[in-house]
Amino acid sequence: MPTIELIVFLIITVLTVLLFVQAVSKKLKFIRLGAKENRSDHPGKRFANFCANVLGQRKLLQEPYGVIHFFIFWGFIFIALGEIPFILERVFPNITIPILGTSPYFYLIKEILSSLVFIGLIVGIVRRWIVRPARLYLSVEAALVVILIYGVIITEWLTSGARLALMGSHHAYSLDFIYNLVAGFFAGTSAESLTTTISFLWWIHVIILYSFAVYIPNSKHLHILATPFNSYFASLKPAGGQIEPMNLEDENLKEYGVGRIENFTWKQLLDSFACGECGRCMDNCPANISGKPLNPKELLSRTLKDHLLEKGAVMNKLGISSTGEENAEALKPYTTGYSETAQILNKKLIGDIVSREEIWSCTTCMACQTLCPVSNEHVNKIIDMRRYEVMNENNYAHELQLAFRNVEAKYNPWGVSWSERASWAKDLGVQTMKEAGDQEVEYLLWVGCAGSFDDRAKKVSVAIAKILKAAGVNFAILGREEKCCGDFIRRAGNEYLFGLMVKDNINTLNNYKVKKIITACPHCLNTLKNDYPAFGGNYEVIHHTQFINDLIKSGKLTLNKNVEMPKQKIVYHDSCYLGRYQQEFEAPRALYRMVPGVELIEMDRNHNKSFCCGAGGGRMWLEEDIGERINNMRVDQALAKEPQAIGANCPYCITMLEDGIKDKTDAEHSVPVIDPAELIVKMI
Amino acid sequence: MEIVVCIKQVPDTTEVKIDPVKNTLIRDGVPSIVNPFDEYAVEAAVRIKEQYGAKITVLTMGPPQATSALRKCLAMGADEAVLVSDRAVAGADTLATSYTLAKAIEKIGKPDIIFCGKMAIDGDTAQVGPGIAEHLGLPQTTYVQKIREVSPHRLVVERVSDSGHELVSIPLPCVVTVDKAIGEPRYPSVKGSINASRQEIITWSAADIDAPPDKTGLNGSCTQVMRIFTPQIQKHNEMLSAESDDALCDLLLAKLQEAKIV
Ligand SMILES: Cc1cc2nc3c(=O)[nH]c(=O)nc-3n(C[C@H](O)[C@H](O)[C@@H](O)COP(=O)(O)OP(=O)(O)OC[C@H]3O[C@@H](n4cnc5c(N)ncnc54)[C@H](O)[C@@H]3O)c2cc1C
Ligand code: SF4
Ligand code: SF4
Repeated sequence: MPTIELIVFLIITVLTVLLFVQAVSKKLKFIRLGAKENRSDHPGKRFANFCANVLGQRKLLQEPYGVIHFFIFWGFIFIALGEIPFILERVFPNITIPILGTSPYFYLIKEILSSLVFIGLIVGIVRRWIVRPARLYLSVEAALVVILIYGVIITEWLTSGARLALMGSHHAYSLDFIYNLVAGFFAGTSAESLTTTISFLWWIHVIILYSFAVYIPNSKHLHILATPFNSYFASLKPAGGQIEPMNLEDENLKEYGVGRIENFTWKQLLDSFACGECGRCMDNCPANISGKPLNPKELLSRTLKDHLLEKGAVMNKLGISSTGEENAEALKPYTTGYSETAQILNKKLIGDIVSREEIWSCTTCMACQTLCPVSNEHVNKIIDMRRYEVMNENNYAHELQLAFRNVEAKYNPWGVSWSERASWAKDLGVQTMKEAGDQEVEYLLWVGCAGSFDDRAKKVSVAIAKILKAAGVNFAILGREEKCCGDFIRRAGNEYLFGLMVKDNINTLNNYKVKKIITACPHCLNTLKNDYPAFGGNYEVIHHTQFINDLIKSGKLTLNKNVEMPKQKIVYHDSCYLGRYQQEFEAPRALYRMVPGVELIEMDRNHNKSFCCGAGGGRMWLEEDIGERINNMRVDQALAKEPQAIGANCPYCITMLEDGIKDKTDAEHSVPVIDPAELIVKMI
Repeated sequence: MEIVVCIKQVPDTTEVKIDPVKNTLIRDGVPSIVNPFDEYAVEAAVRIKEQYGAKITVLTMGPPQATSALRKCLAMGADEAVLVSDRAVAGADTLATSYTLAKAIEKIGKPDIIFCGKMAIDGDTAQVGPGIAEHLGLPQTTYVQKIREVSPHRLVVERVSDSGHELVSIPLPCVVTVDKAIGEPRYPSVKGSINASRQEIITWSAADIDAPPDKTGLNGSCTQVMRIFTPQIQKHNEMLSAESDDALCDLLLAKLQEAKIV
C-alpha cells in the first residue's frame, strides 16, 4: 500500500476507533447512573446463558422468523471475521493470517451465511414495510442500517472477486462461489484497470464499514452491542424469585422503590439499550392487548430510555449522580425557574414519564420476560415503581388498601374472620399441625386464602383433601395458624406488609419443621418456593396436580376407570404462575387425559404464550376500568373452541374465568371451569 | 400544643369465640389490637395536629407486647410513645389504672389535652378516662362526637348524653373521651408504619413514674375480678288469656308480683 494511502488509512482508523469508543462510553455513562447491583456471580452459569441465548439464539429459534435472525447473527460474525484478512492483507501484503486468510472452508461458510443475510434482509424488509406486524416499528434508522449492511456485503464481494480475477487463482478462495462468480465477471479486464478498481472498491468498503461502526453505538441498533452483555448479566434466579428484598431496618433507606430513573439498577437501565424492538413482549402482553396503557416494549425501548437519555445528559453535564433529597440543596439553582434544565430535572418518573395507569395495568403474567430474546426483565421495574407509589407516596387505589387492611387484620384479603380458615375441612377429618403434635407429618397442605375462604376454591380444597386421604398421604394443614402468603401484597409493591406475613408464616412453618408443602394455589406455590428462601424459609413446594400425578405413578392412588363420566371436550387454560413461572405445563394436562370421556383441547394461546386471566400481581383486588376485561377476552378465546368445560389449575383463574363466562354467556350456554382434582376425586 | 392519648391493647373481640363446652373465652391465638375507640382518640389528636400543630404522645400501661399497639399509633401520626410496664402495675382495676396513667402523664409533662377512648372493648367500664381527670384534678368531658373549636385555652366539643346532644366549652388542660362519631381512623401509610417500626418506645417502670406499690396493680385496686363467665339468659314465654280485659290485668299483675317484679 502506498505510504500516503497508509497514512490516510491509519488516520481514519484511529478516528473511527475514537468515535466508536466515545459513543459507547457516552452510553455507558448513562447506564452507570443506575444503582449498584451484583450481576457478576457464577460466571460459569452466566457464560452458559450467554452461549445459549446469544450464540445459540435460543429464544429466537422458538419462532419461525427467528431462524432468519439466527442466520443474520452468525452471518454478521463471519462477515466481521472476514474483515480481518480483507483489511490486513491490503495494508500489510506480506503477512498471512491463519485460517481466516487461508482456509477455503472459512470462505465457503462465510459466503453461505452472507448470502443468507443478503436474502434474510430482503425478507426482513418485506416484513417490516409490506406485511408489517403491528409490533414492528418502521423507521428511517432501520432503513439506513439495511443500506449500510448491503453496502458492506456488496463492496466486499466485488473487491475480493476483482482480486481473485487479478491473481488468477487463490487456494483460500477456491470454494468461494461468490468471489468466483464476480471474478468471472471481471475476466478479460486488464491487470492495470483491475488494480485501480480494487483499490477504489476497497476504499469505498472501508468507508462504509467505518461509518457502520460509528453509527451503531449512536443508534437504536446499539442493541447489537448491548445484548451480549445483557444476556451475560441476566438474572440467574427463577422467574418467580427475582424480586429483591428490601432492608427496611436500614435507617439510611429513606426512599422506597423507584421514583427516579437513576434509582433503577444499572442492569435495569441496560435492559432499555438491549431491547431489539422485536415486539414479542407486547404481542403477548394481556395489558397491551386488552387496551390498557401499558406496552412493555414501549416502556423499555422508548419511555424509560428516552427519559434516561434526556435526564442522564443533564445529570452528566452537571456531574451529579442522584437527584434525590440529599442533593436537593445543590440542585436548587438548576431546578428552580423555567429553564430547560429545570424542566427536565423536575420531571417525575411516575406521573410525568410513566403513567400510574401503566404501572398498575401489569398482571405480572411474565409473558414479556419469558419471551424476550434479549433477556430483559420487565416485571421488576414495574414492581419497583409500585413500591414507590405504595410505600413512599401512599398513593394507590382504595380497593387495594382495603385488601391490605384485611390482610393486616384478618390475615386474608377477603377480610373473613381468620378463625374460620379451617372451616372448609370441618367434616373431612383433616388434622392440623397443632393437633398432630409430636406425630411425624410428612406433607403440609398449604390451603391458601382462596382455598380457605372462597366458596368456589373451597370445593377444590375438599377434592384435594379427599384424594390425599384416599392415597393414604400423611399430611396436615395449619388451620388458623396459616396466614396470607403475601404473593399479591409483594407484587402490588407493599414490601412492608409482605415482610410481616412472611415472618409469621416462616416462624410457624419452621416451628413445625415443615419440609414438604403441597398447595393448590400457584401463587402461594411460587411465593413459598421462590420468595421465602431469602427470608429463611426453605421448603420443597409442589402443586397438587404434580403431586397427584406422582401418587398415581407410584401406585399409591389407583383410579377407577370404569366410573360413569360425561363425554366432554375440555379446553385447557395454563395459569401464568404454574405455566410460565414454574414451566409446568404437563402435570394438569396429564390428569385431564386420565379421565374417561375427556378430550383435552388447546386454545390458540397456550404454554409459554398462554394468555393471563387478569388476576395476577394484585389485579384481583383492583377495579379493571380501562379497555376490555382480560378475563372476558380469555373466555372468548376458550369458547371459540366450543368446549363443554374449561380446565384450570389456579383459584384466581377459576374465579376470573367463571366471572367472564357469566359476563359472556347466558345460563344455557354457560360452561363450567374445572380443576383436574375435581374430576380425579370422582374416580377414587 | 401537647396532647397525650391513652391507648389500651385489647384482644380482637370480634375474633373471640366462646367455647361451647367449657363456657369460657377461647383466647388462644387471638390477635391483639388497639382498642378501637382509642384509634378514634388517636385520629382526633392527629387531626388537631394537622390543623393546628401539636406534639402527640401515646401512652399505655400494659405488658411488653403492647409496644405493637403503640407502634400502630405512631404510624397513624403520633410523635412519641410511652409504655408503662412493670409487674407492680399488673392486675390493676380502673382506680389503679387511672392512677398509674395519671402519674405517667405527670412525668410526660403538662399536656393541654388528654384523649381517651370512650371505653375499652374488653373491660367496658368507661371509667379510666374520668379517673385520670380526677387524679390530675382536671376538667373532663366524655363521649365526645365532634370537636368544634380548638383555641389555646379552650375546646368547644359536642357530646352525647342520655338527654341528647350537648355543646360543651371546656378550658384546657382537660380530659376528653371520644366516641366513634369523631371520625374514621386513618389507615397508616406504609412509610409511617416502617418509621414507627424503627422508632424507640420509651418504657417506664412504676418507680420511674414515682408510683408507690400500694397504689398500683393488684395492691392499689379496690376491686378484683373473681370469675369471668357468660351469663346464661333463660328465656321463658307465657301467653295469658282471660274472659275480660280486667281479668287479664289482674292475672298479669299477679304474675308480676309472683316474679317479684312489682
Ligand atoms: C373482663 C374484665 C372485667 C373487669 N372488671 C372490672 C371491674 O369490675 N372493676 C374494675 O375496677 N376493673 C375491672 N377490670 C379491670 C379493668 O377494667 C381494666 O383492667 C382497667 O385497667 C381498664 O378499664 P377498662 O378496660 O374498663 O377501660 P375503660 O375505662 O373502658 O377505658 C377507657 C379508656 O381509658 C384508656 N385506658 C384504659 N386502660 C388503659 C391502659 N391500660 N393504658 C392506657 N390507657 C388505658 C383508654 O383510652 C380507654 O379507651 C376488668 C377487666 C376485664 C378484662
Ligand atoms: S408481566 Fe404480563 S402484563 Fe406485565 S408487562 Fe409483562 S406481559 Fe404485560
Ligand atoms: S423488550 Fe425484549 S421482547 Fe420486548 S421488544 Fe424488546 S427485545 Fe423484544
